[in-house]
Formats: sequence, structure tokens, C-alpha cells
Amino acid sequence: MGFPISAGLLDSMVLATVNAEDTYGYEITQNIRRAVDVSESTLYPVLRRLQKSDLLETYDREFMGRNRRYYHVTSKGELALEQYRKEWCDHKVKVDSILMNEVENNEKN
Amino acid sequence: MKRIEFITELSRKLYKLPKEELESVLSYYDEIFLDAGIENEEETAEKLGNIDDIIRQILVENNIEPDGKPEYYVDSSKQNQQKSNTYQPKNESSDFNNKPKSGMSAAAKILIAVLTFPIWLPVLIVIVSLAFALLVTVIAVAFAFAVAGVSCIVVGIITLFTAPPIGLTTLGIGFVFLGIIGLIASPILKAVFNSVRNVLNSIFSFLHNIIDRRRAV
Repeated sequence: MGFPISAGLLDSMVLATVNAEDTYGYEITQNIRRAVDVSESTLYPVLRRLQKSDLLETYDREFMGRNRRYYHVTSKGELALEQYRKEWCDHKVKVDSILMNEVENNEKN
Repeated sequence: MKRIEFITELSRKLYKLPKEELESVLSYYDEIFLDAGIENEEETAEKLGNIDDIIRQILVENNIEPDGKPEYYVDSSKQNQQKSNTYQPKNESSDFNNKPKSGMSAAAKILIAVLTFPIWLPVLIVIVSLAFALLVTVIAVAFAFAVAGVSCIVVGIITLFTAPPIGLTTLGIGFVFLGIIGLIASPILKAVFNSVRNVLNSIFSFLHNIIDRRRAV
């Protein structure tokens, strides 16, 4: 990927992934890897940070005789995700208008 | 790097973390390895990136200075890389050329070994003879059991016709002896034989190393 991914973007993608369905570390990375090249070690601090700021919470579930730690978005996390989504839409429209030479009639008026 | 090595390395270098934090890191990475599949451990470790970077990042996130001297890690990892990249074909000779100190210590070791030989030679002889004695004892005991077993069986068969009860008893005792050899003596014999061989092997390879080093120096 030619574009560096900011911490905020990573946070929001993790939140969105977990929000779609409660899931575990490996699965989260696999999902985000569809868009950006990240490793599990990049995502560990992100997950930990989101946990500490109460945007994510965890619970353990048994899987094949061992524990799997599942992540779940808290209500605070849902609000944050909503905010992130709004900001991203704004951001995307603005970047597109420049990058794609799109003329935004609405903005000109 | 395998999963176990990776986890061990993490726990070894992250001992300064609070217990809860350490547990979280270890279980996270352990889970990643298991979810990625046991057959892909090496590949998974490679994808995770440099373990020292991971460790440093976690320490920094927890407001712990990475061991005071981050340069040390960088330097040592660089040196290791250089070594493995360039020096591998002629590892030993270049090692001797580049590090006269280690060459000196090897020479000193030989010197010490030679000077102290009045001490270690008797010890060596004692170890070897003890091992030999143990081997002989076990063989002798096993042999005695075998002889006792076989003769009891033979006698039992003979007396079976003259005095059946005594014959049967003797025959039974003979089988018991053989059974003891089969069940107990032969594994013990094997174990003793193997350990004696290992001890002798390690002693000889040790001597061999010393002689080889002397030649190299």
C-alpha cells in the first residue's frame, strides 16, 4: 500500500470489524489485511489501547480445548465508531474531490 | 522461530511488565500462533516481524524504558545479521582472526586441561570403570536370572514325570525368572547400556574437541 495508515484509521477499522461480529485477534487481523498490510503485532497495541479506553471489552470462550479471547464493542465504542465513520466520510469526499478532480457543485455554492 | 521459542522469548524479555499485562501479551501471541495453524509456526513468526521490535514497542507502550540501552539491542542484532550473512562460509577461521581474545581463552582452557590432568585423569578413569562395573553387574544379574530360569524349566520338565506337583512348581518358577528378565531386566539393561555409551561418547567427543582445537590454534 502506497498510503500510510494512521492510528485513528486503524482504531476505526478494528472497531468496525469487531462491531460487525464479536471476534478474536487472528480473525481481526485477517479481516483488516484485506485492505491494508498489517501484522498481528501491529494490531496488539491497538487492541490493547481500545480495551484500556473502554471502547472494546473482552471475554474468553473455549475453542478446541483452549481459550480464545473474543472482543466486543462497548456502547462507548459504538459511539466512537459512529464518530469515526462520519469523519471518514467527510475525509473521503474531500480527498476524492482533489484526487479525482471531482467538481463539487454543492461546495462551490 | 517456533511458537514455544517466541513465547519464551517474550516472557523472558517482558518480565518487567505488570503481571496482568504480561499475561495479556502472551495469551494474545499464543492464540495467534494456534489460530494460524501449528504447521505454519515459522511462517507466522516471520510475519509478526522482529521480536525485539515487538518487545520494545510493548515496553514503551507500558512506559518502561527498553532495558536502559536500546542501542545495545540494535548493535547486537546488527552484528548477528552481519555474521550470518557474510561470515558463515568461513566462520571458524574468521572468528579466530577477528577475536584473538576468544582464541586466547581457548588456549588457556587447553593449558588448564593439560596442567590439571593429574586431577581429571583419575576422575575420568573412575567414571569409566564405574560405568563398566555397572554394565557388568547388570549383565551378570540378568545372566544369572536367565540361567536360573532355564535350569528351573529343564528340571521342572524332568521332575514333571516323577513328581508332577514339584515339577509344575519348578517349571512355574523357571517361567517367572524368564518373565522377570523379559519385563524388568531387559529394559534396565538397555537403559544402562545406552547411558554408559552416552557417557563414554561425551567424554570422547570432549577429548576430540580439545585435540581439534589444539590443531586449529
